[in-house]
Amino acid sequence: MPRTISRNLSMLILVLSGMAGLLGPAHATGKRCQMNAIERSKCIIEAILADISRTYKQVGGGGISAIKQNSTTSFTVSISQEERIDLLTYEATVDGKGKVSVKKTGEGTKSP
Amino acid sequence: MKLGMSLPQSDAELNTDTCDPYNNAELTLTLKLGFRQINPAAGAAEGTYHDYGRATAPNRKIVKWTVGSWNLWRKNFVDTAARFWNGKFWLSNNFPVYEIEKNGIKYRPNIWCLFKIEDRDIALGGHHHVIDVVRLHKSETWFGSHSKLYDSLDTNSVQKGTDSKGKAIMQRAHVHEVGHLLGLGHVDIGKAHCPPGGDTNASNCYGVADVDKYSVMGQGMQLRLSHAMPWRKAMVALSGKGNALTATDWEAKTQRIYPRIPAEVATNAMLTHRPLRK
Repeated sequence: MPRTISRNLSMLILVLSGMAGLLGPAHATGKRCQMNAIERSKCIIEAILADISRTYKQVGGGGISAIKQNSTTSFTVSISQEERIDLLTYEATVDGKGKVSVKKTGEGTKSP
Repeated sequence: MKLGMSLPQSDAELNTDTCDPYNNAELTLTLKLGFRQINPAAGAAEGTYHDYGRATAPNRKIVKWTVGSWNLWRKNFVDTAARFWNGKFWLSNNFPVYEIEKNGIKYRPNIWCLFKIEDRDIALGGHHHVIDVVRLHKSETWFGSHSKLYDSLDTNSVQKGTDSKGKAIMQRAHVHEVGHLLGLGHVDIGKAHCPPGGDTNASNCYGVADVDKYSVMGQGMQLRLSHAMPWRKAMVALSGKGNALTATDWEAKTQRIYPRIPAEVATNAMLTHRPLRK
């Protein structure tokens, strides 16, 4: 293969993989999410963070102060706000292809 | 006549000396606050303090208060919070009390709702509330405060939320907190998503619909008629008339309403424009 074509192809692959990241990091990681516990929990947390960016509207406050694993597939995110800490609980599933999906299963508040 | 009373959340004083055919009685609620410095440990210039004053919450960098910064912050707090709540409501007087007579005509004054904060020295005691205040380091943009623990940035306007169109909702935290000190709860308390018996600090209690999010007792800076409740309760206590839970007793308006003559009282007219009087 001529060198210029090979270089262009490499660039195309790089651009496409970058776009996959933009479309949704947790879903785009695919097989990597099956690899080991670190990668799996990282994929789940990324999917949870993407959902928070999309759905959590009280953007003031101190931001995310904790992400706690409750069980293998359940995580609770703490978000510091004036007068309170919001607690968002998610349940995650990882399918055989490593695709992650998350569902919010609880919204609570802890008063300081 | 000046009639005063100590209420659980504030002092109330009704002044009827101001009444004439055009001017109403004035009801002033005074909140006596004591501010207490939180400084870095062991006299250091800089240190840390936990959000909400809770050891398990994140630490924020704080600096020692200076005399100048402390006086400036307190003055700014008192001036801006008092300005926000002062003189914003009028209560319609639906009882035959405080009436005056001029040129043979009887006038029934309404009530103008005033508000003062007394920045009272801690050593004097007798406060309605004592509030601790941290001075944040310039690298910090936020601190977890609550109604009895403030930070030096709480008087600034910051984005609290976003409405359904993606527009930022801004709030100065201290005016919201003063609302609590006056006895007001969050905007959506009593709705299905924020039951009074549950945690009324839950995020839904700060408003779900845009109109509620923009309330000062939600995420915004707008006043609602329901925010006149502390003055309405005070009028019930001072006059011995009516019930604050009855909407037509000492009904709140956000517009000046002029004193009424008996014929206007009989038709329940609300005089929002200056009437012609003899």
